[in-house]
Amino acid sequence: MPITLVDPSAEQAATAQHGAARLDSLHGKRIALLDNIKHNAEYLLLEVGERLKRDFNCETELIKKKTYTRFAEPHIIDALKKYDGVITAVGD
Amino acid sequence: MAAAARHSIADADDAFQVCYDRGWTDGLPVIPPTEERVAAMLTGTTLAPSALIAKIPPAWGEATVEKVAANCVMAGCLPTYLPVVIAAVKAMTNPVMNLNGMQCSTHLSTPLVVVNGPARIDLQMNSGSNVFGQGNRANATIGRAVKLILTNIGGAIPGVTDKATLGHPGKYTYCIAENEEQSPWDPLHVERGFKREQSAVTVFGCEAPHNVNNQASQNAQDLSFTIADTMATLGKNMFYAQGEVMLVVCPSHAETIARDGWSKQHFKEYLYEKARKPVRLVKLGGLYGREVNRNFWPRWVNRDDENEMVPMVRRPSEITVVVAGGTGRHTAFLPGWATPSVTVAVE
Repeated sequence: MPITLVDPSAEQAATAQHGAARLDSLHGKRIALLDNIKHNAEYLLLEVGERLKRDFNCETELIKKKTYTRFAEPHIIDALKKYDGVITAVGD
Repeated sequence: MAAAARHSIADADDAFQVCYDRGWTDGLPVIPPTEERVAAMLTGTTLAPSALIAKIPPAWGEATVEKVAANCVMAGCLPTYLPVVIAAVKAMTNPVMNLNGMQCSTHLSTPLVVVNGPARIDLQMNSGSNVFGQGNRANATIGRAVKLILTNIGGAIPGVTDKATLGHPGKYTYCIAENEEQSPWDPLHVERGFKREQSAVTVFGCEAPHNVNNQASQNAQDLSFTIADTMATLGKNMFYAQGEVMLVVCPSHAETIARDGWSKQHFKEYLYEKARKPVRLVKLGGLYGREVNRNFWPRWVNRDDENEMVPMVRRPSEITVVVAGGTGRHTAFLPGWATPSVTVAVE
């Protein structure tokens, strides 16, 4: 006789998440660098920002979250909407 | 909310292997959550199976009563434990705990469950010898159910979304009861505004217990100094992110401290003053940041003074004290993850 198990998992959370649409090109784009305020994140983002400026003539800006463990605050999310793209790093 | 999905498996199948293959276990054998067993578990509450307790990050899965009950079955709980597990789910999903961050962090904190009030007696929980250890069904399976819920409903998959560098043995189970009967002070839930005859659950995101061995000191001052010295070690999140810490004080140590006339508040104030490290050492590592906003210190800390003593927490009330354990003179220090503990009633 078959056994019926009750699913203990989130079920719907298993749906694949899709990333943001890709930019057609990096050339001349405005890119936000979202810093979670850990040192290693900043080092990486600043280097990436320099390369974007040098190689793709991008305009970049480092934007800092208030704390590294929480979601970015709503005003930061709003500020990010002004940019063509966002790059972030977690920095551990 | 919708009912949980049902999965039919053949009688000949190994039900544990099916649960393991589906990613529902912690690696140890589980009791398969059959419809009959989940229905029996649900007799432990008057809540509807479809009632939503909380959404659990990082997947933000819906922790319905039925889903919680299914995880309780797998953990080996009795139906009478279900209200305690439900209370723990409510507590740990309070936004102040930042469970999303805790579940995904490279740090090794995980929620500890502390049970207070009559539920400890009714469920025959262990608050005495070996309180953090094995051997008691309620302690072991309530703690395990919470961990299965965090993984199965919360989606904290080890190495995938749970990015802990090392992990924590408490990610299998981490649940104690306070030894209220042998405490010279008010129990934790009374300190937080609940009645002594109420049952309550406190959840605190923390590291593993660090032992404070002091068999020699016979007065509050010397004993508390040993505890403060054990607390104040470099590498703790507290020296950068502040937050909350917990001490699980054994009854003998608590008696020594209280015998000298120290209230729990006096004890906390002493530890707040003594568990400190100078700026010159704190800046050697940890999460030290060049900028002020990376060190969440009180404003009175003079960051330019190499000898300024940095406290582990911003105020004495962020040192939580629980009395538990059996005979012997060992206290445990549980460094936090920089977020506060939360206490809710068991209903």
